[in-house]
Amino acid sequence: MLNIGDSAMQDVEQEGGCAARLRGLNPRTSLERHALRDVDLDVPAGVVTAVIGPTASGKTTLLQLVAGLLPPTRGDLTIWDRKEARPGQVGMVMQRAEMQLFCATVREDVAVAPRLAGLDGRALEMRVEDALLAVGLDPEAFGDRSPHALSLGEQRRVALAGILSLEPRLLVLDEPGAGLDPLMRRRLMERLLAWREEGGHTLLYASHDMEEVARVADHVVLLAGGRIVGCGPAAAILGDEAALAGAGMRPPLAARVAAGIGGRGPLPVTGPGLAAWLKARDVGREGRA
Amino acid sequence: MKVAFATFSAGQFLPGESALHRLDPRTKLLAGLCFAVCLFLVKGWLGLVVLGCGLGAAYLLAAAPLAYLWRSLRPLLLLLAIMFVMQAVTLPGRALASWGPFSITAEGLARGGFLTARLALLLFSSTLLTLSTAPVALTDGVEWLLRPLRRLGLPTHEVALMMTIALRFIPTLLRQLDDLIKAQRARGADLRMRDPLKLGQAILPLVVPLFVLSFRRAEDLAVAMTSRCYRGGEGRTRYREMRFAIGDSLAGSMVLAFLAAALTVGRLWGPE
Repeated sequence: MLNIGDSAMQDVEQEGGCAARLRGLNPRTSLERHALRDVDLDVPAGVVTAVIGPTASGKTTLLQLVAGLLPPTRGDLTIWDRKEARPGQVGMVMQRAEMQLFCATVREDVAVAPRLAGLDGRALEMRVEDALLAVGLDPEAFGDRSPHALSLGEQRRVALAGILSLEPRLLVLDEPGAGLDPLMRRRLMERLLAWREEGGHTLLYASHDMEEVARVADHVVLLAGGRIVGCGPAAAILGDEAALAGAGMRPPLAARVAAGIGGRGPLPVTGPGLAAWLKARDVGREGRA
Repeated sequence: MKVAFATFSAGQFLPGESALHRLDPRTKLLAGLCFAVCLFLVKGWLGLVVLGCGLGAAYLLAAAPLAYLWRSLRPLLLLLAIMFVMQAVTLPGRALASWGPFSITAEGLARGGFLTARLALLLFSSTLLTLSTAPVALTDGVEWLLRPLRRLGLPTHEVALMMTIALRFIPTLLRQLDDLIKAQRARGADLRMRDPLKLGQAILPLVVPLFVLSFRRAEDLAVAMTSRCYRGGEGRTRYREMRFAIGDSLAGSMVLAFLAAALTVGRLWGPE
């Protein structure tokens, strides 16, 4: 008989469940620029969920709510069926993350969060090195440099490593690629996805880049004017041109192409899905011919 | 975070259309200055009470919510409390209660209360000034008041510009601070600041990035101003001209008359 520990068992059970569940959640509004009202949302565990919506639609507020950074006035937030997230369970990297570095060296800065979570010694060093490697920074070359003397892209990666070092089960990112050039953004995203894939983490992130969302997201939340107007599998949301237009967004290129060549029903717009769809369509054509 | 925001919200401008709002900033500045001087000239409680009533009337005129008064007081509450206790404990006189070498005296209590009330009134008057005067108007007024010092070589225009910019940056930096607090909390930092020993440790992650950011912003602003041909105060005309109106002379004379009366009352019927 297989001997699975209790915690491992739990993890197995939770796989495919809900990382974060928001019910009727209201952030305190007095200080927030873009209020969000009565949020009901399930963030599926173990997949990539993208939050899209025009500027000032409440993306940041939503992410901060999930990360527990905004005290809610009403409603419930449960993280893996618990009222309160365990320390280090949820990690969030805010916008312009490079502005949050404060230590004298990169290594120290990345170590802040795991140290506060109670790690020290060799375990802490390992975490820091793993996190730096995950974002593509060589610990030997960058570890002892001042974070303030790095380039924007490098700083952004250090800030990201500062949260990855927590090994959060749910990672929340607020526009991780903003301000970076397209190539750098793509590389950053690829590294993040590799990290997520490896550890089976849940990723919730906000983005303005529809093409990127089409490429990486399994699940999409569409916001407009402080309300969730769409939530579901990426293909369904990104293929719904009317809903996107209602929110002031354009579907990604893949969806437009698919619509242009005459697709019906929910369109497979993510990379492999689209390829399969096109193939099926071609087969269908050949069959008819 | 709540703490950080509440602490810094003093000195806010409350847009409005009241008679007080419409006064020339110079009138208000001068009146505020005279009020402050009178606060320190009156000797007894009676004088303070009269001045306080006058200030209260001005508040009613500005139609400001009372919460503003409280908010202006809150950041300095600790200072006021310390001052009050120091006075109560150190002034020699009739001891009411003793604790080791310290004893609370009746004279100390009276004196402490008086000084605290005076400082509170000073705070309230400056709050009234800032809440009824837009920051830009305020700095225009200050620049005008500083004009005589130009003869002595003081760059008054630059000083006023610095004030304007500093005021403008306060809300920006507050928002930044709020983001930083959240970012550090996301890293697991406890910023409730209960433990004074850990306070330094807790604010370092906030102070360093805030400074880095401020310098960067300052540089950006300097470049932006230069690229729009800003070249200092010499020969500049104004978009907003300040004008003394009838209301200003009226308000000015009323304030002066009131202060003179308060001063007379306060000097003649003071206990000391």
